[in-house]
Amino acid sequence: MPVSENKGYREFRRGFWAEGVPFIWISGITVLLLIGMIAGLIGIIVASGAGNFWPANVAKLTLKDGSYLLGPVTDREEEGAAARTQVKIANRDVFGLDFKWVDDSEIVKTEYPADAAVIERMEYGHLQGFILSFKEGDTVTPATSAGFFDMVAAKHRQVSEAREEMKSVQERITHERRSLTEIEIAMRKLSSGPASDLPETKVRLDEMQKQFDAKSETLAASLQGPERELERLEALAACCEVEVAISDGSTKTVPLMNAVDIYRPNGMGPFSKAAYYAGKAVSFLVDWPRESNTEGGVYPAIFGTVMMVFLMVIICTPLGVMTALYMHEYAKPGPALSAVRMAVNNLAGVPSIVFGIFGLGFFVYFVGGGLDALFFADKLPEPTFGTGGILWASLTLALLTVPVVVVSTLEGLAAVPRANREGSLALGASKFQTIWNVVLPNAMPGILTGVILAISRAAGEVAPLMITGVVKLVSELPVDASWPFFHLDRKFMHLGFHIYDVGFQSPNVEAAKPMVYTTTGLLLLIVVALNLVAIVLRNKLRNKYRGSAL
Amino acid sequence: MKIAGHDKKVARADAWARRAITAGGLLTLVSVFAIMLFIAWEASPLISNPAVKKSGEWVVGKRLTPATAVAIGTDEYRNTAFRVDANGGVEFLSLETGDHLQTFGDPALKGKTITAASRTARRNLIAYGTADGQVGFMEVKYRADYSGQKRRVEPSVEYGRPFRLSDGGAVSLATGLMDDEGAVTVAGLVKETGLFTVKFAPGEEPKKTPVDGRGESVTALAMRHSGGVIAGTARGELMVFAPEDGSYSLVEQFKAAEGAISSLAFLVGDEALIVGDEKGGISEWFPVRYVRVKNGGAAAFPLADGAAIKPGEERELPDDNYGGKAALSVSPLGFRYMQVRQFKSHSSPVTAIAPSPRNKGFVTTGADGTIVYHYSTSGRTYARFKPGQAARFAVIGPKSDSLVALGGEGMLYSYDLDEKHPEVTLKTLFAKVWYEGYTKPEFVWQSSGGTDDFEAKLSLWPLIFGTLKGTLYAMIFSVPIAILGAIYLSQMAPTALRNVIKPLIELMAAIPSVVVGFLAGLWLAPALNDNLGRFFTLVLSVPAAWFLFVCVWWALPHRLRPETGGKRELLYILPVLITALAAGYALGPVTERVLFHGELKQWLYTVMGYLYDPRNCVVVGIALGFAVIPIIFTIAEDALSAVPPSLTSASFALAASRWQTALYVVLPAASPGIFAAVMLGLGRAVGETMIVLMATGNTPVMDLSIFNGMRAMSAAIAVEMPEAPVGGSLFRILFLTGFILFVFTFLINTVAELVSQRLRRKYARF
Repeated sequence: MPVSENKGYREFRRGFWAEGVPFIWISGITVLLLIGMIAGLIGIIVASGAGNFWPANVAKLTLKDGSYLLGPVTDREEEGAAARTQVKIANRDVFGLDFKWVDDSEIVKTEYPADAAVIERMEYGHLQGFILSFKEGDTVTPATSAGFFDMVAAKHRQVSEAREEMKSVQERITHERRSLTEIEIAMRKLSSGPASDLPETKVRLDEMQKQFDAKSETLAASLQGPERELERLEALAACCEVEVAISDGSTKTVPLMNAVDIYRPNGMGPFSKAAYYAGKAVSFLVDWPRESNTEGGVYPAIFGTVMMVFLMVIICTPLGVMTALYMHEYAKPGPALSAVRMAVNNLAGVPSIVFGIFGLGFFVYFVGGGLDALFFADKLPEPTFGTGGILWASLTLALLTVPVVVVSTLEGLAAVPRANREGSLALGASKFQTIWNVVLPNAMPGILTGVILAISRAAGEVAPLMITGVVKLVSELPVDASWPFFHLDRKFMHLGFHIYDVGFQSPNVEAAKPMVYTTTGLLLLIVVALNLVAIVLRNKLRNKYRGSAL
Repeated sequence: MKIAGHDKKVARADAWARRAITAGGLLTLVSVFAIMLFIAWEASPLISNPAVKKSGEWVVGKRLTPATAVAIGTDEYRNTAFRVDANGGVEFLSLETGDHLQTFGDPALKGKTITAASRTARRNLIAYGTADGQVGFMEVKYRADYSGQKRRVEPSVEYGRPFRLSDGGAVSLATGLMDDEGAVTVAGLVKETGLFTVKFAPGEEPKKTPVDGRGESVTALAMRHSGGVIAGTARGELMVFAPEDGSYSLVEQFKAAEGAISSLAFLVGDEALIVGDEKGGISEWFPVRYVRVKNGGAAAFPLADGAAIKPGEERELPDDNYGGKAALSVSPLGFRYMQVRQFKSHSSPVTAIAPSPRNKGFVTTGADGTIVYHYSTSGRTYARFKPGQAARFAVIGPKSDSLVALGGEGMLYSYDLDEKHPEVTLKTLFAKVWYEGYTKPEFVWQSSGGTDDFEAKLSLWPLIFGTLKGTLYAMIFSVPIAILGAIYLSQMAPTALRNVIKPLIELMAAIPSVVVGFLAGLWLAPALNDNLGRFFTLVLSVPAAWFLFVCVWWALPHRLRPETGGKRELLYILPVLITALAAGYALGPVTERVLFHGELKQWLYTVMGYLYDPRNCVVVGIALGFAVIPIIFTIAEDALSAVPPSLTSASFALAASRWQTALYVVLPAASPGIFAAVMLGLGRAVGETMIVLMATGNTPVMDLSIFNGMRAMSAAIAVEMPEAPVGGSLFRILFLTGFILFVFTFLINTVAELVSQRLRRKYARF
């Protein structure tokens, strides 16, 4: 008997190897780490993105040299005894930088003056300072007068309304003028085209010119009203401006028309802050982006994502369900079934960027280029469908998401008990009648799960879109009031790409960060919500037939 | 009757449904193959060789004696060709009909005979020398006119005033170039008086500069825009001259060919010098930066080619980043020409070399009238042909899509040149290539550059390497966590925990990669950059916590020990883990100060020689690992849970512990499934795009260091595809990259699928 056969060692050996105690613990630790990673990811995004709209208090830091900095404190760093504070000094047009680090030893006094105002502008981001006066025409009202800020707020509301109205009137005018522009373009094309010297062309051009003149006359008459209205609104919107003292000692004049919001965060209570927050959150969802996507909202990106996903679902659902029906109901075990299963698995495993280049080569250049040559030859070399667009992106993503639908539908089909099918067949229903009336309705939760998962996948997928039609900014949505209403050839914006673009391609990444975090949070929220619905649906499906005899 | 009719309808519907659904199912199958074939088809033109097709054969104006032509060229649209004759006249003729269009001439050249001329590749600038010792230049210009129904090309010729180089004999060699300010420099050789350059600056008197030719018999001339003059001699040597204080002095003289050098030309970009000799040989030379390296260390310094610099020894070598090595002292020596490659030779003296104005292709003409098309980057000779009558010389058209050759009998031959993708061969894709500006053959991916004469560097290795590197670090991070986690969850965890964690992992799988990549690039990378030391102490704190916990667990008396296997076992370890992580966090800066002299990054650079790139493989490994973990985890967990309970029950019945059952019964049974899980994770990591795009710096480097980034194939496609000209080499190479990715993932998925099918069949027995 070896010496090591003492009791302690035996016990250790048993614990170590037989019970595997350390290994059990380490595997437990990995599960904890996993939970920690997921929580960390979500936590970082929520923590960094959720506070974006909250009107932070504006600090006034008086420095040793007598000057002061004005702005919300955004960060602090301590290195041993030395500490420094980051202030969002804003006023980009004056200071150049949005943020400034200042050593704590420099700071003499920190206070939160109640009258420090923040003006969110259409351009150059926030302006922070102290409002001095309000100017309407020649009347100047000093900020010290009673009810000053209520008056400014009321005026600002008025101006904003006028601005909105101006936009819609302008749109109406452009819309009315469109037919005129079309004639103009046709004329230009004719006169610069290859047949421009022919006498027939000259006659035709004259005709068009007459048509153009007549139309422009009638239009001028009918547009007189709106144009006068526009003038009135313009005058109203440009009526007033505020004068603000900023921290470098100068004063800045902001036309009220350029202000998105005027508020004094230090004087706001938690409720008015919450109201402001809610308003900002809503405008984030419904507004167009400003300042190269770093401010404003993400409405076109949401719209583009939803529309692209919608088109994709229309294509991938029937394909996926049919494939699943074939695999589960029709195909006999054999090479054909194995091949289809292999194909589905491979389709699920092929990198999304490969779908992207397939979409670019096949849909965009091959199909789209062919369509252009056939139907839009007069516009060439300007491509119509022969360039990336929402239709091609949707088709590409449809291919990508077919396996998701297939796998879920298969699960749904497998959950339908044989008894149900046999019952239907025994009553004389044909196979397709059985599938249509018995199997599919019962497998519906599975199909729905698949569709939801496909949506969630497509909402977050970016790589293939980057080369099939997504852009950083669009001027028009793929759906609008001009004929034929759905413009499937248009490029579109996408939430996922928006994140990549603003976070990595933006000229001012530091200033864009809060916006990207918020967009990321929104995307994550959408994806997580969709997946939770899918999980609930699937659990329902699994529980549905748990009790039934199989 | 009615019922029978209804039955028929039902049967018909049934049959149609069967057909439609079968077709739908097979469509999926078809689409997979369609994707693969289409991508392969898009990449396939890469393997085709350039072709030359004959398109016309016209006799130039009959009233001229054919032998007098000294230069030829075409316009951009290939409507017209021109021929410069020995009397200085420029004759234009239609390439469509062969008709003579117009003739230009210069009174200053009346009665003179051009004895030497050369045309630059980029513009139709012709430098010439005459029999009475004058040099000059002329430029053929085209103006496209769109005013009419059809595009008309209006040719014109601008003559420069000739300059008398020598009173003695005829100019036997002349070459010239024009700089950005419009000044033309012409180098001319007169046998009797030697080699000179003349600078014709607009608005200034021509300036003559002597070249110190050392009395060598010069047989060929070439000039660089940077100011150098290169001469080839009858002895097969090249002489490199550089301007210095009012004259050109010899900087380098070396043997470049066996016989006399008969022709010299720089390719566009002025880096690659093509040398043709009397024996028909063609070689390519690059100016390479040389350094003098002295080994001041105690050990021999090994060189890339297997040799070594002994301690104290001094050598002159092509610069290969010796500056970074501490033991070496390096001093620059300037440029020296090195032979880069040789091309398949002519069987007779090389009489003319004409570079392509667009790329690194060139045509050479032999004395026997053969025309050969070569490409520098790939080092290939693609086409070799002989016009009906022996050609005197050939030039490539302005769009590099045509060739015009001048026959000995005064004929002009026009050819279509379909270059396809001459810079791409299997060798350039997968082997080291010596690119312009490099000191040795290397793997380089640099698809576009700032200038027109940029040489595309399209080696796939850096991309493949980048993909594999990122994948490697992702797998190192994800496989242990995912598999250990799956084992725990399927074998040890209480049901309640499983019901929480499984959906959580599913959610993790659903997190869009752009979100993960964004956090990796904009949160993790800067955080890591600021807290590198802390990161390592945090990583180490996990095993430390584990070790500590296990030790304490054993040290405790039995009744105080937290029970393994209970529902709350994770709750015991959680506080320990958190404490350890907190300790790791707190200890980070201290460790950095004590062990690494203050800063880890600095230490890594000075002591280990690693340059820290903020977007590096630690970030990629974690981010990509985060994306891969749920895949491996889910599939491995499924495989482990699918092990039939009869097996585990039997094991438990034989008194095996939880761990023993997991390790010796469940794990072996599920190992094919776990293998499949790892394979699928690998497939995902290889193809993942957004994460590698956002978390790495996307620099195509070729080293395994964890502290720098890489450029993956997928990211290269995503970034470069929008900029790649449709149908160009880069476009097709990106499709090839996609094809490689497809095939790679196809293989991985197929293997994984076969393995899990076998597994399914195996369990079906129980």
